[in-house]
Amino acid sequence: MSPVNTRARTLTKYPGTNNSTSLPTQGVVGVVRLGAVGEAVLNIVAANLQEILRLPVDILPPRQSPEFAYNERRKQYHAALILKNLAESLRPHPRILGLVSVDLFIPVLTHVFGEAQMGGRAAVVSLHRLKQKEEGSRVSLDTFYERVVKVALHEVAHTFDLVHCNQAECIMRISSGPSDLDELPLFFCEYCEAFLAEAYRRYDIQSLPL
Amino acid sequence: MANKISILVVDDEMVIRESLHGWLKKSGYKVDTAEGGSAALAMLEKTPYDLLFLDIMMPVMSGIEVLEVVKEDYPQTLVVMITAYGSVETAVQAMKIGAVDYLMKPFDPDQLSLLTEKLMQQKRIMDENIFLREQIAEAIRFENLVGRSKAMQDLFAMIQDVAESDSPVLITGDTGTGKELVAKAIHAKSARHNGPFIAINCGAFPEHLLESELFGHERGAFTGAHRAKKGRLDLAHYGTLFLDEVGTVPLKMQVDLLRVLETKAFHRLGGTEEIEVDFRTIAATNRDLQQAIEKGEFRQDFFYRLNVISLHIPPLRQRRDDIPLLVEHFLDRYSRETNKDVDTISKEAMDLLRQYDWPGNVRELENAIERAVVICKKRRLGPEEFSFLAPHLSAAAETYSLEKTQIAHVRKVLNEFDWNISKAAQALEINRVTLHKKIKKYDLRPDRASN
Repeated sequence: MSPVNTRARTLTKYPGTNNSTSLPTQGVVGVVRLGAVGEAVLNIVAANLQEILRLPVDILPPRQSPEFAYNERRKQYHAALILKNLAESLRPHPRILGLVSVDLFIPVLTHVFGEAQMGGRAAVVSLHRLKQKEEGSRVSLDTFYERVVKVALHEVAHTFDLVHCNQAECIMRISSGPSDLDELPLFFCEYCEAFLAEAYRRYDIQSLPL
Repeated sequence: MANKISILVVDDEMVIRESLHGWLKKSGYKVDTAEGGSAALAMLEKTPYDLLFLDIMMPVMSGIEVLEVVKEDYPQTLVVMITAYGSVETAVQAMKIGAVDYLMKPFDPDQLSLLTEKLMQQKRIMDENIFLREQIAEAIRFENLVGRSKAMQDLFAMIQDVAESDSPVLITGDTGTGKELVAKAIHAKSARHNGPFIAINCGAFPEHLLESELFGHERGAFTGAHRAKKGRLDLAHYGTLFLDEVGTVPLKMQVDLLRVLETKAFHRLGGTEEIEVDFRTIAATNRDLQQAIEKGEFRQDFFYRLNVISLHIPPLRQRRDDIPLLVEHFLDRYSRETNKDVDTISKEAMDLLRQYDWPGNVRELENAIERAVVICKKRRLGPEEFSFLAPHLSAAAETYSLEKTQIAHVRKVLNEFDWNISKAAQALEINRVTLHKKIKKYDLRPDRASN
């Protein structure tokens, strides 16, 4: 595994997580794919969450696409319904992250890249809008993986009560589009790092040693 | 990190309220929701929200109606309109009333985050404005005097000039206009500012007590004088002596005081030793001393001695432009002193205060604000908090009769200009002859409130 807690962090492409097939579920974060989501992106997200959040991550058995959340009028999937379902149906991980390939929305917004329960258990990331540039052409696989990891980190951090950050160099900075997402670093600023550590203590969560 | 901006989301659709609430919470804002206009206005009465997301189409009370009230009563609150129908006309109407922007449901997340960023910047500018306003407040506040009207600005300049000399000053003005504050300001700006400021209200003492208060007395000087006492003339040494209500000083004592002012020396009652003193005299009165001289109630030589420099403070009804500034000043003071969260006043209440004639001047206004703050149960003063002023409000407001309205209006204007016919006629936009005819026809006479 590459060195942890470095500012010049790059994407970890080699999973070092607890795979459900080899280890029992003992991690803090359970990552689950819902529907047509590739195994590679799942592994990369899990590995990077484990490394950057310093939390043990488990990969959970795949689930079906969340058709229950489909909204006929919007032709999109209601993110809040997926979060509710993840939080209620998957135990015992303190935090659950779902990966979906469908387009997500919340009632007040046209779309979201991801959504999370503030201080809750569940977060979800949609790969749907992360594969393309604004003008429609596809981005490289590396850029795609990096975007997914950034949204995943950002959303899971919300479940630890972290709010959007004004620091330019922070994963919690609000991004106003996919290309803006590319500008974000793959780490938390020192303030958000401190808030995260404080949240682990508050939620009685043991982080991995540095 | 987290912004301390507080936001109220007003929408009749629960899903929209909840989803916008959730999104804004993630940015660290303090967010509340209301399902309708009246609920929102009730919440605004208690909490000073920085920003309102306000749905245009709501049953019972439309977003536009809510916006109108908010802009009138809480102009500091920024409002973003939400519309589901993309009705540009309504949105444009809202922007004209004072909304900062509008968003169509569902919002583009990019648009929402850009707007939020823009509003945060606006908030920062507003905070800077508050800082600048405080700096301006320094300019419109002279010592403890408040006023931006030309009359008050001229007065401030005059005080500055007068303070540099050591000549006696006579301050004239109706009761409650702040004559003592002006005297204190002159003292504070003068070379004597390190010395004492000794005030005596000459109208508050019977003759023999006033004499003893001013000159002091030796032990046994009169029955009850068990020990020697320094008088105010003594105490004012190296400072300023402020003779308030000097028009009430009895004639005999005017002679004694005149001698003191000329020789800067006096004897205590029952004493033989001459005491030399060095002070500056500032006197104040709400009486017309020229008239008192004509009636033989005031000595001309004493008047000339006091009136080396004269300052006149205009009554509040002649500087109505200062009323909002004074209201703000007293509101700030009394909300702090009473520890109550009353920080704003409705337009109706302000109109009422501007309309009122304030016979008791600034002191009456100050008391009115203090009383209103004490009885107010919300954070905004409304007309109901000033109901005690209502019986004194212009009779014109209670009648539909054209003639009665005209009489009341002419009387009001005459009083405002202290019955200066030329100025009143100019303000009424009629000629002096016509005004004279009206005064005669309606048998108008100066009332007590005006000089």
